[in-house]
Amino acid sequence: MLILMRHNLRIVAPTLLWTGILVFILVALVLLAQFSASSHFKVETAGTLAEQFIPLIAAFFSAGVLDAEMKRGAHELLRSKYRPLWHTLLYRLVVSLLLALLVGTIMLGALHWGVKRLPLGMLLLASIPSALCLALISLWTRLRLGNAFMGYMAALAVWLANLVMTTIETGLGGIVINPLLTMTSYTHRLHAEAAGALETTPFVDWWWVSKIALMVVSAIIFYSVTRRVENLVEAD
Amino acid sequence: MAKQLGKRLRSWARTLTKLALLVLGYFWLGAAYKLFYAQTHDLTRFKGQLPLSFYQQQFILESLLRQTWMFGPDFREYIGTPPSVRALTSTNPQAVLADYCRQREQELSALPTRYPRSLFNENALEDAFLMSQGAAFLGTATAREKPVRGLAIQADNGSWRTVGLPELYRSAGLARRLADEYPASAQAPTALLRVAQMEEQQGHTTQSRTLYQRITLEYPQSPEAEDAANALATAAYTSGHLRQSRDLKQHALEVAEQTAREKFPGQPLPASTAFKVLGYHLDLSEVNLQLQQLKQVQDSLALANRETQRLKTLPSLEQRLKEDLSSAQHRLQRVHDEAWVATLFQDLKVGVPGPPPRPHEYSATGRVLVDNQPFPGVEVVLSDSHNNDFNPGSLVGIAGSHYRAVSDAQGYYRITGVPAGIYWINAIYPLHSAPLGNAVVTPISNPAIKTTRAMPQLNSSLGGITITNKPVSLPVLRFQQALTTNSFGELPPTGYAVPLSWQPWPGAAAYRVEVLAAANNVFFFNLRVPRAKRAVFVQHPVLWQSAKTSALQVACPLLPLAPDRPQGVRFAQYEYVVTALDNKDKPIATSAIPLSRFVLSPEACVALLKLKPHVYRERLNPKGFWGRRRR
Repeated sequence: MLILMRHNLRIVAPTLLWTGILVFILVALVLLAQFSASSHFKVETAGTLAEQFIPLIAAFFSAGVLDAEMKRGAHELLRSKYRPLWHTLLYRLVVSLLLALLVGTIMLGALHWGVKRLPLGMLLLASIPSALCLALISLWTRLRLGNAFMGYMAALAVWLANLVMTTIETGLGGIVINPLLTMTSYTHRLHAEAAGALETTPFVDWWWVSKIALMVVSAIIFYSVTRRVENLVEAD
Repeated sequence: MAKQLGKRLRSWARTLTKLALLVLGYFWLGAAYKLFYAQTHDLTRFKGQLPLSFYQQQFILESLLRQTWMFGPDFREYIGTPPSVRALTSTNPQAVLADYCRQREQELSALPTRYPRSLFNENALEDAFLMSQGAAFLGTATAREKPVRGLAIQADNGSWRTVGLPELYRSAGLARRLADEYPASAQAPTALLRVAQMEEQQGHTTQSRTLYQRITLEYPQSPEAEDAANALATAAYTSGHLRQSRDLKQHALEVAEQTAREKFPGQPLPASTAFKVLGYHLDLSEVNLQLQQLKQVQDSLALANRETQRLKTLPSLEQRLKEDLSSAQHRLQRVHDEAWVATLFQDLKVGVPGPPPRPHEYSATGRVLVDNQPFPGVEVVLSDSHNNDFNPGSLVGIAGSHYRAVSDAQGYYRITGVPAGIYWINAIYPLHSAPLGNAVVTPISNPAIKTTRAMPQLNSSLGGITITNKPVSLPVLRFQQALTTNSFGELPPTGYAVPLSWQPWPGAAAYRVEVLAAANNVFFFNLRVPRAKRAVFVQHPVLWQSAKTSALQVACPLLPLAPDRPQGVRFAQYEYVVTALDNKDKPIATSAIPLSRFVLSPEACVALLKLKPHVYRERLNPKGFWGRRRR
């Protein structure tokens, strides 16, 4: 398995060059902002970074995981492998996700040792379902519209929609529009814990249900992506 | 070409349909999850920022999008529809909300009857209770409903300010229905507690104590049991049953500690909760001292001391808690000293001294008459200056006062246990008097009720009744039959005036009408008065006064009713007083203000604004921006 992962990493890595530069700049800006206002840094801020920033990086990395074959018109290479197509897709996805988590770990690690102690493991674990979901949305849009840039844009749109929903909910004084399909359920729990309102804030005790729901949605999108790639290959 | 266009349009329609289904699916899934969560959790512990129940708050967007149909007709009726935004912005929003609350109360209270097996019946009754209370308060304030009881608040020189009180008997009925029909519901103890507190406020002591006992017996582990036990302990202490008071206080402490353990498992208690526990230990130590149980006193003092030391070590305590902690420490020291004296006496075997002397408490008696006949059912309340904060109109001080009594069939009342001090006298009375055949009544000024000034130069008052070192007999509270007014509520205009009418008064030769700003609306109109005269204006805010007339109706012009900011006319509320005069222009009767409240209809507001009334403004900085005094 590790050999396959390394093999897929060698295929995916060159497609991430320009995206990687963009991500590097973003991470640098975020770290600069947090270190300059380190007195206001809280665990909830780290939760926001983990559940909103890491998925965005994963979406940027995942949009082009199939570009190595598809950009050159060599779709049949994807079907010609010994393993089933969904294995290949899964490996590529996991590789891009791991890269995103690595970037996130570096960012949160810098804050953990530089500013304040954080529950790193829990933050990274909570970011995985959100990252997987947004990554698959990005990949699905790329396959549907044939352009990685559209994949980035779709993921960005979903991310912005989630941000807007969260802002509206905060402004509406506790009204929650959809507590199930939200990327920031663990951050809400951190906020409630910090305010000492864990018992009196609804939905925060079932934050893990939201993560399971995101995994289910991810599975559905992954199935759709697999079918789409098969159709594309067979059409050729 | 047409075929291609048709194909393209169909494709667009498919895409838009999928997009719409995606968005609706997002809301449907969220609604389904919220419903499942609500059915599996105790909703009483969720208190949102908006004064709405959980379901009403969380499903407000679904009701706006008309998506509440998916969980059945009972759920759709339970959530209902929010009030019209257009109505809220075009008319008096308080009046619109009052009507909305009353309508929702009726719908929600009928839900259990229409859908006996609905999952939302308990929540519906709970929400109906809240809506009923909202309708009562808003309805009385906006003259949507005529009050049944009035509150006479003592003003200067023996005069009275009267306001109508919201009628809460419907709310009490709904709460009782919830507790009786759904005793296993999580809202049942809260409903019972509310009913008990309402009965206590209305002076029905026996009923309130029965309900408090029911809470402690049927729901001993609920947070409401703590409040009920506290109320019973206070009542037992007042009536001298110290052992019972101690046992009830101990029970309240146990419930408080259990609730705190459930809320903060394995964590140190927050400051407010720890302070509450400290208060319980101090209360128990005082009661045990009176019962001469010195061992228990020492135990309670030790626990209280430990809590005090822990609270003192907390780094960031709120200012209010710091002050309370300081007074608790004084109390702790006092009890500690008394316990030391008692222990000394016990060790010397000369008998433990009696309970420490209680502060001087006396009784206040008086009589209430209406047209020289006994007036039963009038609740007389003494509120002290500390509660009122030098403002006799403070309803909070009146509601929170324990010094109250209801007049009996002969009109006599007796208020016991009143410590020495200066008090305001207030009366809660039925607006329609049974002795006078349900005629409307109003209080009469009584110059015997003097006002004590705290500091004359500041024009602030302490109260009208002084209790020093003996029982006091209060001046007779007199009521008289009032002139009946017809105009009430939302009044339409007649041209550029509003008609005000009333019933004739026997023997009246003429009438005079004064239109005032309603008691809670004076700030809308006070900028027109010079600052030096504002205090006088606030006491009697006359906006318009008619000439003497023998007719039974006057047309009050709209222009004087314009607020300082005329655009706010839809929020303004008014009252009017009709005075009947005899042949010598001597007043012989007045109307009852609580039944003479009105607001301007939307048409009247439009007519008023057409007159382009003057806009009053007040400069905050008379020297202007550049620091130079304006010419």
